[in-house]
Amino acid sequence: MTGLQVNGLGRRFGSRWALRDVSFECEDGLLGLVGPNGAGKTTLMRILATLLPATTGAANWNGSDVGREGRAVRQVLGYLPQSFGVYTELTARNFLRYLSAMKGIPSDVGRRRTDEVLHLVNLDRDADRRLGAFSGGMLQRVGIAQALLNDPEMLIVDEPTSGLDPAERVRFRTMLAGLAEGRLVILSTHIVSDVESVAGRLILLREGRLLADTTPHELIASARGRVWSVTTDAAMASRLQSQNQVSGMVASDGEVTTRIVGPASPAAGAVPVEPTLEDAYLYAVNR
Amino acid sequence: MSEEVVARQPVTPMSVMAWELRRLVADRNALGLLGGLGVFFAAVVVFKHEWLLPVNDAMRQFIPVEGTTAFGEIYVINSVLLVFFGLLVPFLTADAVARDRGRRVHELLMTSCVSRAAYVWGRFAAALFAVLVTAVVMAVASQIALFAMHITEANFPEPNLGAFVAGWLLLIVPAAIVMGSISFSFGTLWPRFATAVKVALVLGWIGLSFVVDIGHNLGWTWFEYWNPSSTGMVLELWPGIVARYVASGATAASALSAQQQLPSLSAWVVPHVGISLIALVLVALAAARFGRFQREL
Repeated sequence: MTGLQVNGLGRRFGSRWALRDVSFECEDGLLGLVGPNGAGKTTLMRILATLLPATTGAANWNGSDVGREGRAVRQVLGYLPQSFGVYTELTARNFLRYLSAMKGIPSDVGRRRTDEVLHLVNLDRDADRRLGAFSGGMLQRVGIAQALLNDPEMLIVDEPTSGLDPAERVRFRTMLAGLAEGRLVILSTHIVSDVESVAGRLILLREGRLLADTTPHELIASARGRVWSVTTDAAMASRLQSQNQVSGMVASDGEVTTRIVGPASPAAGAVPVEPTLEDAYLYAVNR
Repeated sequence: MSEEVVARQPVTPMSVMAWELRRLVADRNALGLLGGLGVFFAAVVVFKHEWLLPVNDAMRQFIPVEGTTAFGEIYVINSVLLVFFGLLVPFLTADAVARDRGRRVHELLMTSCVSRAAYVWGRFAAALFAVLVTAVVMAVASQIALFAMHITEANFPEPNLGAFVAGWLLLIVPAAIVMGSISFSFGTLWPRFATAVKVALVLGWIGLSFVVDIGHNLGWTWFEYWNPSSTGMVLELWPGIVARYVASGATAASALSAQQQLPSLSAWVVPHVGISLIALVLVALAAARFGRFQREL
């Protein structure tokens, strides 16, 4: 069995199920894991990263049970948590060498890999600066660099673009797309535009359950004929906003063009428009 | 990115310790802290390095104990250095693992290949090493202070380094292991309560060092030997010094010469090694119970 198999995975915290009966399979490529806050994305990622035991079900990576054979999985795992810290007293180079030692990479190889990943994330020039002096975006790049030290077969990145400026976000997305060749990259996000152009496959979660296992094209197709554009005055736009799922509003010359996601035309004069992935996502999670 | 498969090897506690020490050394505050502690210990010894102890039960005659004689060096360690050192140890060890959770580095480390046992033992070894380095700084600072007093005060004998080293090995090292193991283990198993662990241990050490001399009060002579703070040790040794003083004529010169001979400390060896080993069992327990998983998240 190759790739990732997730079978009936569930995790309960007290009486609340954070994840329930989630199943899917995938191989190499970039898998987008999307869903609103509290959908269970981080719980799923922590289980796959061997940090959290599942309450029900199992996950296997290339035949190794993630829960029972964590050591084997960690050998080929790269993980960037949503929120992580660094040793601010160390330089970026020494922090990465520290983690390469903890990943069991021999010293000489670790030194070389550190240089390679620093170059990959464009931190060569800042490699010998202390991490305490790094910006949020630079720290995020250090985070992805540490996840790549062992050239992982499975790379899990949880909300990597939150807190980054738009330029950094684009750069990060492009980098992740490049990394997906020959390995599985699981990118968790609630920012749909992060996965729009790079993910070949999407897993949608809502309230801990698998809502859809699809592709961006299929998801967009499923929302075709259910996205509307209507131009009204401000008062009407406000009323429409309170009654419908709105995906965008543009004000111009005293009029407001509102983009609405819903099964039926929301108002007289509304015209169907081609959905974006964000429209389709909103349609799916609010159905 | 290179195409070759990255070679991997088991992560040993030694490797964990070496990298943790490297991290500690990189901390700009570490050297200043160590220097400050050295100055503090030197100042404490300058402030308290001479005592008057009674020759008999009637407390009518006293002889001075100089901090640089063989007995005096043990006295300095037992009654001055060890008390402050014991208070310091929990602050150097309780957070050795707990700190990673607070700084959110825990998940990065726990998704690497390091085993729980290698991680916990490696961190403990690094923390203990840091404690022992502090103990060496304390030793050097105190001896420099005592030597300075020997130079400046005509009647103050030269420090007896042999006695000091014996006392350091028999009193300081076991105390470091015992206090270090307890605080590290509890701090590792209950990271959220690491501060409470430190406070409890500090209060416990104060209790053992100052407040209750349980061995004397309850007649538990065994406790005199098994107590990691070694409270009451100098009182146990004192009658032997007095006997030597009386036997050699009870003069001022014999008071000094009676102290220059290192009293037998052998009765403390087995208990202090014993409590050190028992304390290390706690670290083994912490390594066994330490969770890679974070249930609280």
